[in-house]
Amino acid sequence: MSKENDQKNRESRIRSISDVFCREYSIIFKDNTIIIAFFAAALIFPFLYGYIYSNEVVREVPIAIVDLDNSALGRDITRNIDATEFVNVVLKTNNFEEAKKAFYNDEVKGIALIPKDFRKKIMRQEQAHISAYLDVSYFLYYKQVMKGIRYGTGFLSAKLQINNLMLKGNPKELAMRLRDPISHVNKYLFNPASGYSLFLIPAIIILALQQTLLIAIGMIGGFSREERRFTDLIPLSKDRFGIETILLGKTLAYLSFFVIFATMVAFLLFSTFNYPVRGSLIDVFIFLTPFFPSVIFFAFVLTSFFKSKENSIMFLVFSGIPCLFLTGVSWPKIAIPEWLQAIALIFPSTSAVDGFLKITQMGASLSEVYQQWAVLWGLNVIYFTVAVVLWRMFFRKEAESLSQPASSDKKTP
Amino acid sequence: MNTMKSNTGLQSVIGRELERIKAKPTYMVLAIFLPLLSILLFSAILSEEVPRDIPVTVLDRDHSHLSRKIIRMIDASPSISISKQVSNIEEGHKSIRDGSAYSFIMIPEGLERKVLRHDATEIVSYNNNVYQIPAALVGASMQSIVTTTSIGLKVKYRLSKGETTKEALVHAHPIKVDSHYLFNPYKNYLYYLETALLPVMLQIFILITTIYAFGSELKEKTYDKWQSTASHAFKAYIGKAIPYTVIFSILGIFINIWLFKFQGAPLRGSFFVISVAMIFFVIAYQALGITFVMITKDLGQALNMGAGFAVPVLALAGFTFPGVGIPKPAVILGKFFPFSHYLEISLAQGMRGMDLWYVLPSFGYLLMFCLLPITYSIISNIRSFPKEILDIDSWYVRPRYSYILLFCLLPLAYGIFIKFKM
Repeated sequence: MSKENDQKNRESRIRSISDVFCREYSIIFKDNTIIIAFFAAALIFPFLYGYIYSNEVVREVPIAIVDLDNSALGRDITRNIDATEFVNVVLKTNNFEEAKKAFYNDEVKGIALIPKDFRKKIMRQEQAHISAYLDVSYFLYYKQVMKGIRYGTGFLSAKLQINNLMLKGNPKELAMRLRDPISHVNKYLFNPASGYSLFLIPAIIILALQQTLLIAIGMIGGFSREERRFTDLIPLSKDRFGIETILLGKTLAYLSFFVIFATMVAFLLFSTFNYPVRGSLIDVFIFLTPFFPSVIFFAFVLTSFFKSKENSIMFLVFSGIPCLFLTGVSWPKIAIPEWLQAIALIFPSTSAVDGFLKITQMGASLSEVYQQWAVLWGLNVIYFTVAVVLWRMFFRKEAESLSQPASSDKKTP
Repeated sequence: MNTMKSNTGLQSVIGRELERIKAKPTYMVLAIFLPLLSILLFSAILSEEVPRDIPVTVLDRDHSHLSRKIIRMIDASPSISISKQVSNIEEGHKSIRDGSAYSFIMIPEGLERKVLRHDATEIVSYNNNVYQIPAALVGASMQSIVTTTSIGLKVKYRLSKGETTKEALVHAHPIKVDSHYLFNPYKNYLYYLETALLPVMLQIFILITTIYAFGSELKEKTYDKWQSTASHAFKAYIGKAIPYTVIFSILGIFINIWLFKFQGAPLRGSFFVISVAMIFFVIAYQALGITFVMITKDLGQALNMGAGFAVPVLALAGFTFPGVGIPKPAVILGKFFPFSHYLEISLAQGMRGMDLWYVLPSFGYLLMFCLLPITYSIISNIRSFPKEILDIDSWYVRPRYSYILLFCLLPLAYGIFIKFKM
């Protein structure tokens, strides 16, 4: 049959890395779902997330002020709090229940309460209190509301202290300095506006690239197994470094196909949303060099367990979100148990996101992310070795079953 | 008509599905093992309520009694842990870049001297705001430490001028802001995250399992065998879905028990309502999975669709970033995911304690999703599965299903009405 002839021809031709390389390309383009997997995820997700978070900062958080005192002082504070950029007083009431209701209805994210005897206490030179009711469940709101209330009350507090000191005979200038012996400044580096996407999006790019590669290569592997398209590789697999040749040829194919695409996506993304790249681009490239091969080798290891092309999606999809959390951007790494952090190193994304963020957002140099880089290279070595072993076992089994007479129609589950 | 036969029909479909589940371990892995693993994983990741002992570096340029006292206070603070004292600014910034510290605190030269002379002086904290949570925590703690120190100094000064302790305290700190946490007494960001994450993980598995269960019938060409097990296509679908509904509902309610009873997430409303919502949630995602299979008629593509639908849900539901900041079109896009509506119910009953009227629209939306396969097959009558889902002995039964659809549009109408009223 011509099919056998074709196979024989193919068998004689696939002997080198470049042959495997070409073969992989032809497979990639044979099945639509594989192409979709490659492109869709890596392209859509980062842009989607970038768009969703494009409004960056939360300003003018709506709050309510309950004024039980009804004095000029209370109104002063209300005005001052409202004047800050952090909060916006949308409800002024003298009924705490009303404010609470607005809080439960999500109309305000916090409440400031001026108690009934506020003015009296100030006049009598007793310590007065303002109560802040906060919603810590939305972490970003909490920070803003606290700031707004503190700044707002701070004005009055300062005025009182200065007046009092001047009454005691201190000149105004001295009084002002006495009010604040040591002041404190919080400088928020690299992300002064507390933009949300600045740290999340670079992480999502890397993660999307990893997941896409894992799933796509898994699909190709499963697809090959199902349709038994790897038979033409069997002769090569018996060669001395046959397995390594096969794996490297595949790697080159995926790398070339994917890395160019990935770089385009990254550039596009960074320029569309104006993300800064503070480190040197060369450092970025050198750092990410071991990332892609490590993901591809990891995929080879996983592929040996997938018997059909759907299996890769099915078993890998759920890993995206846990991997995101293990990178330490949504939830700080120090809060994650150490044993879990160690396990997280299995995924190239953990180290890659870490270094990528440090270089691009914090301006770190390659030497400052040496540890992460080393881990990535280590993963390369480990996964390649394991992949070779697993694939050798697989090919041996297949070669044996081929040589047996009754090996026709194996139905794959 | 054939009531006896259709009862058996349903049972036999369920029985067949159970056989299929037993035959392939894939189902157990996807439906039970991996979800449980995910729950454990996130419980482990989020096991520490609030990040503590955030590593920081300190530069002490003063080396005075006062500066050392402040450094002791910093180290004693529960949120902060001093990892190293550096000897110059460059070292401090480097520690942030290489990740060994989240913040770098600089105590200036002449601190104590300036304080004694009543000259202005300031302590600066450089916080790495790429990691916002630790940065905010350290920033707030440092602010608190310096403020407390300042107040102490002011009180000392006033005491030295002959004021009484009480007077001194008031004059140094006339207005005190007390914070009360309405919902999370332990400043616990964890409840907030976990309450969203666990259902998100669950829906991934519901989608994948359902798509696999239904799609594999197509792939393995057992579609006809499946359909013939029941007297009616409708019963074939329901019967096939039921085992998974049971499994995932149990898982879902277990998640809620775990969240609200064991993890201590606030539950101010009714647990029953949340549980019912969870069952709706499960069915809604099963319905979506079935619809994807119907649309693509191919297991691989349906899985792609399902994956694409399952993963961005967390962002679109506006949870990790408050809904206030998300652009309007994205908010509307979020409504196309059953998770958003389930989350609404979960928040309303959990953290906010609102009554049932408020969440009825969300139930309506969930119901709409549950009916999606029917809706879809009515709309694309010809392009649905080879055997029409509504293919029945006589067509006069068809109107009955339209009534169900109309009936379920009512909650949606009610929901729209409520939104306009508000």
